[in-house]
Amino acid sequence: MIDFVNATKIYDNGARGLQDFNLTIARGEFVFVVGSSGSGKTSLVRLLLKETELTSGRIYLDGQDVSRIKRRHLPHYRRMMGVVFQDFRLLKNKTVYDNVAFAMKIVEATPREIRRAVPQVLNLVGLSKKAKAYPNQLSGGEQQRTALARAIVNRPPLLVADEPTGNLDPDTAWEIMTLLEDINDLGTTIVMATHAHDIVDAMQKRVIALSNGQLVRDAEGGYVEDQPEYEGGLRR
Amino acid sequence: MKPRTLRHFLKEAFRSLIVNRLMSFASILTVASCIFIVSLFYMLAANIDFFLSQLEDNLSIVVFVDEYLPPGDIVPLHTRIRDMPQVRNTIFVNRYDALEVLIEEMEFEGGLAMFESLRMDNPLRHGFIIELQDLRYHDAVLRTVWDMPEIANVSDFSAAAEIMITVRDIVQVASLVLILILAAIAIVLIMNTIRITVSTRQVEIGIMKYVGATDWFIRWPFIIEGLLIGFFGGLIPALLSRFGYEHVVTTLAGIPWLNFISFMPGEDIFMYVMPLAVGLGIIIGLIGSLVSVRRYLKV
Repeated sequence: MIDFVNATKIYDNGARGLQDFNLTIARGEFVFVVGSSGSGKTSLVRLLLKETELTSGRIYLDGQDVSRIKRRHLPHYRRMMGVVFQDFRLLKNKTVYDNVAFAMKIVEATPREIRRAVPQVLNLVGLSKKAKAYPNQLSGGEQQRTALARAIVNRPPLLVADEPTGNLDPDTAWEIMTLLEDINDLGTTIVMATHAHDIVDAMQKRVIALSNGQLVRDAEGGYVEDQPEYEGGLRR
Repeated sequence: MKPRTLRHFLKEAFRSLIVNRLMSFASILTVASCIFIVSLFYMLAANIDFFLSQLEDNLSIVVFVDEYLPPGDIVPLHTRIRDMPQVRNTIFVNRYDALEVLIEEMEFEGGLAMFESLRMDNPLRHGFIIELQDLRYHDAVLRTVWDMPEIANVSDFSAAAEIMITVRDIVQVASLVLILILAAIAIVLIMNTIRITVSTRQVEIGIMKYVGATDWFIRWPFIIEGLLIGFFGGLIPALLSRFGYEHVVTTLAGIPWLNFISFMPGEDIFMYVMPLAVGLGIIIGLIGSLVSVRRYLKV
């Protein structure tokens, strides 16, 4: 589903985002991207979202060359993925229901489709009873669930999560991870950038470890103790 | 655009107007003030035009035909004058009818007996009353008819026409300059309002981008917001003119030394002021929001 081919990203200030990076992620996979700050995790996420352009190399999503996508087609490209951030990024003046419905309105879903899909997805994330609440009336976990509901309500084939548990206590973080696993079980490919090595260890999924913009490990399972070049980034 | 999408844009635009109510109100008021001044100038110019057109109906060039011109040459002369592009209409007044009119007029002044004798030896010439398309053609027509050998004399109103044309031209130019200056002020204010709206909605705009909103889906509510500010800013002076004009005209008509002036009817003025004010408001709003969206909204 996702292919990075010799992907290199050098920023204008000379900082290295990715360097000769090669990676293939199949449809339906759950992949953790780990590494210390500045290792290239955020660059990887931003490149996937096409927030920034590669310096050289290629990224393919479902066979489509991402760098060749024209600006006017960017919204349609982004509709192929849901995005979840560490800081939730909810609209404060909208209720939980409206935050989720908002994502559907943008893709011009009919009111009927919205009325059907939003309660379903709120039920999936366990927020049916909070539909009328505003973000400032929710706990961190509930806010992240709302963000998750918004990310998946249009049923994108890919979910990109950038440190989704970063602002949450351990118990709440686990609730979110359980939800992500459920979403993955429904067929959605998940790429999750994280620092939380305990979660990575426990989930036993594929782990892509980055250091200084380069791939240093690509393996199933958790964190590996004897990899000094990225150990510091995985340990908290 | 689907109706429900338009409804969503309108809702968002109104919501933004209400959330930033102070700035929105200030913008609407500024646009309204600008357009109100423009409307005042328009009404002044329209009334001067109305007054001039009424004068034009009464003020015409009168030319007198050489008395030695053979009668058969009068019709071709009439045709030549009538076919001039600056001429709206010509009326031929033959010397016998002119004398009858003169005698009739004198009847009231007691000079009837003296003028009765003129019937035997008519001293008047045939003449044409020339009505112009516009007062500004006065000089050109005058020069042309003076150069015609068949014309013996011309009676004109150059001085009066020049003053009236000058006044009208000054008001028209002043109106245009004023419209441009005030429109620029209003556009800057609307731009500022939209800029503030954009900055308060940066988070929302970012989220919209992540969930795949098209550029125009993001831009439209801001453009509609500018349009609404312009629309309301135009509607207020239009309604003020509607009710204020009649009141002012009635008051002015009551002043004795102004009673020779006839004012344009309120309905006629409103027929032009309403679309002018609202249209100008919408154009100002559209330009302000488009420039602002282009400059401040990086989608």
